Amino acid sequence: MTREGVASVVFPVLLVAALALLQQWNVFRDVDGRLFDLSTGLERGRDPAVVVVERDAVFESSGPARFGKLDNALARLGVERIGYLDDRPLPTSETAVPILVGAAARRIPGTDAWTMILPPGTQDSGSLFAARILAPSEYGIYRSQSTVLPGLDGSIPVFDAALAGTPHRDRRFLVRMPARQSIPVISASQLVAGELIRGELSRTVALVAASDSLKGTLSTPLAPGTRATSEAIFRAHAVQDLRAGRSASRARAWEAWLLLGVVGLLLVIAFRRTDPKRLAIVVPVAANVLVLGTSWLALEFAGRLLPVTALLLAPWVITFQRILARELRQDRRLDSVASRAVQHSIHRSALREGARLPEFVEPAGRLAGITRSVLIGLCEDGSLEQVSAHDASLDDLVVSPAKLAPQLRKLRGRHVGRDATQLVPSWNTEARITWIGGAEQDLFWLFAEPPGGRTGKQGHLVRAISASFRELFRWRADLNARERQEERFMPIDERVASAISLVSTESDQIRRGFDTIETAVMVFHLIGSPLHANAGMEDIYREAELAVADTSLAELLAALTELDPVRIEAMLQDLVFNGGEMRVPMRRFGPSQRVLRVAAPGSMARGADRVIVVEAIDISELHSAADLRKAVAMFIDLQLRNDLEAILLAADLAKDPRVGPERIVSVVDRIGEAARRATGRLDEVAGLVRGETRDLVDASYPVDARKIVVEALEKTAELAEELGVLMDVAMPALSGFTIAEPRALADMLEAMLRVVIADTPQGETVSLRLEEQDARSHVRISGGFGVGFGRLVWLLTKSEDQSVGEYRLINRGIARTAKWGGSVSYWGREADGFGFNVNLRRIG
Amino acid sequence: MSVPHILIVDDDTILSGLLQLTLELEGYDASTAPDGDAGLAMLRQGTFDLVVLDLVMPKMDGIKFLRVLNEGGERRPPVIVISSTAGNTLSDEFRALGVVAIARKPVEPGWLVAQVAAALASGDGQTG
Repeated sequence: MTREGVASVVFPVLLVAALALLQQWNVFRDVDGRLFDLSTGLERGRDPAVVVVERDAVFESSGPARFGKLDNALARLGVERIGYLDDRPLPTSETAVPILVGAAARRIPGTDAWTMILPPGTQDSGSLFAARILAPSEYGIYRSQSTVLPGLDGSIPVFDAALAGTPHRDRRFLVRMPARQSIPVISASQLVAGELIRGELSRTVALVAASDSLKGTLSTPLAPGTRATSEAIFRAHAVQDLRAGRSASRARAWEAWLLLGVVGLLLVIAFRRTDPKRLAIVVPVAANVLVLGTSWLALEFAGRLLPVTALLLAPWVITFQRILARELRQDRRLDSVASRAVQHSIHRSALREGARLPEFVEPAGRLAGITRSVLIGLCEDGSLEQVSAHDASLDDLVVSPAKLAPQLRKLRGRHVGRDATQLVPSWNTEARITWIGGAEQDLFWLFAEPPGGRTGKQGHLVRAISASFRELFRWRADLNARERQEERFMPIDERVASAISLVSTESDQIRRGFDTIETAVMVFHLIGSPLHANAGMEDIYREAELAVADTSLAELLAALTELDPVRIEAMLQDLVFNGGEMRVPMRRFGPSQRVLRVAAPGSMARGADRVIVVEAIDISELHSAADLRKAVAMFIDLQLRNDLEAILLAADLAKDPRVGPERIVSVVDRIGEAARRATGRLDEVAGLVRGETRDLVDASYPVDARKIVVEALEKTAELAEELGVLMDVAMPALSGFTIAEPRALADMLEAMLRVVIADTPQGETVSLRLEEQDARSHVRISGGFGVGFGRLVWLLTKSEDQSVGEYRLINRGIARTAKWGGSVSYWGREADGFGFNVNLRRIG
Repeated sequence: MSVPHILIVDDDTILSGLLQLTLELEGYDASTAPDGDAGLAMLRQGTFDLVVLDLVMPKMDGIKFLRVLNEGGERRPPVIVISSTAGNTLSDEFRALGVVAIARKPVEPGWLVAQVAAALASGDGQTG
């Protein structure tokens, strides 16, 4: 059994034992008694087994023979026994029914034994006297009575038990006092006068009491708060209980231990496989109901008052202990997990070494446009320390440290700084000072307001920087708390909250950073389950109609590449075992061409750290760059040949003596024209050659329009053939230079062709024309059944993100065509077909 | 004997003007057309003994010009192709279209004059 398992048994057992001890020390006696009163007070009344005979004034004044007459009268009425609570002369002759007389009793000093105090000159005849004592009250309430007292020569009977005439198993019993129990009270004079008929009191015993004994002197369950019950009535209830066999007694110590042990065991078992917090109410309430029911049954049928209070408390105490243990365990785990997460998270960050944090303040400020600043540390003795500074120093302050320190203390803990222009008048600019947290000492940042003031963009940035530092210091302080003795008992919740806040913030920052990576990245767990995709990869998933959360690594590779499952498995196996990376050509989704880089860390990495990263690298730009180089080279080659030809020709002509003066001017002019034209062309391509790589997406350059149209035609030939659509194509055999980005133009033309071909009935013709004019190239695509112009406009003017399929490519192409100095027009009418006209700039 | 009339078809007006001057200095009568369409129109209107043709042109490129020229069924003048895109070897396809010489720009003027003279001397023009 684990340590936790042992603890889950031991602690409840100890708690149960504690409750049993408290029970044994009568701590719960009063509450148990009140529960007993509550239960028995509501019981129904039973046939009276005892009558109380009051020695009224008439009786007392009727002479010395009155007791004999009363004895005879009671005997005639059929009572089984007569008990005189108060003293009376001893009967001189044998009576018809047994007579009992109450006598005071006292404890013999130095012993546990008792002795009766008999009237002087009398001797117990053997059956007459019984001890008239009352068991001590329980917190003022009389609810129990003794049956016998230990005497020197054996037991001394107690009056009530002796009058009842029934033995009882315990020395002490509890007196049930139901409110509805009838105890008849008859005056002795009535009985002597013979007002009752013979045998009317049969099967009862008579408790004869003097009037004083019938005065309320005791506080009992019948009237708990008042001394309203007489001794005679209380004893009559005791006699009634004993004679009716309804007397009850408290559970013995061993019974209490046993019962509490059983309850404790049942609760331990109940909480063994369940969450005590979830069952915090259900289990104790159910256990209490069970205890109350069992207790009632025990009292009703076995005359046993169980340790109800202890039994009721046990489930709550044990549940509380189990919850507490669980919480402590949880806290320890949380603490450990949070610490690990935080340590992992801040492994490479400035937080790891809190003392270095101030070093980051000045550079961050400079980034935000702050030209002057001082980072001031406030020491405990009130002195100021210059932690760092930028084009400023502590000496710039015109206020003494002693005067400034109290003002700085007021800023401590506040998120809003205060104006500090008056503190540094030599700066000749508005200044501000703000508290940014601190580790060993509080740090205050005094800085010149950036251009634009507090409300400007840079002002916002400065406030954000201050807030970040305050947060970082607070995190650091919270996280370090576990290492500081004085804060070891700081609530775990705060440390965990700080840890979660730090980790989630950092995770969010990493996620945002991840999204800004140009390549699409997906991280998989070693087992192939997806962990995180950046925005670029989510786009690819969307284009491939895959779900980020549900697609395994193998499924992703199968969908994005041409690899078959066997090769995918072999590749992943190799990566998992050996680490490294592999590159696989990716199927084409959308206009981009990509390769997939699948990489895993080295095999020495810890298992928990093993991830597989899939990166989709867009190589379209590489192709674009290659295309650009090729197109530019081609353009220079072909176009400059013309210019060089002209220049060479003109130079030869200029040397020719046959060219007269009237023509030589024209020839020279043409040399200049050709040279200028060549220079212009070089300038035009120079911009493209010097362009940044990122501009390649929107770049345009001289391309062979015919080649692009042919490429689009070839890609759609299969579709046309499938649908039985004829293609009417007209284009020049040779093409000049048209300005465009070849891939974007090819994608757009292909999409246009697909739209028109798909809309064309079988056997009909789609027309494709490439016409090159002096300065423009036109591509015209027409055919199909046609759609309404409004519908076509709607399809082509939705934002790029909203449009779908081919229309999305056309939409994107239209936007880019404008950037090349071209334009796209379209028309459509139902049953009349529709078409696209792409108008591009031509430069040679 | 009349002066041979040569048609220069090229969209590069600077170059075609200079070619025209070069040929005129050699004693030929030369005219220019800026594209294939205009060249065909001029051929239909006048008599030309030789065509100097560029291939890459707007409206109608040189290849189409040659095809249309051959579709006419009339006697067509020999053609010398000078182009930035063409190779220096005369292919059968070009030969069939009536091309007697081909050169990649920039062309050495002396070579062109010699080729013009040779083409005119051989009378390579054919009837389609």
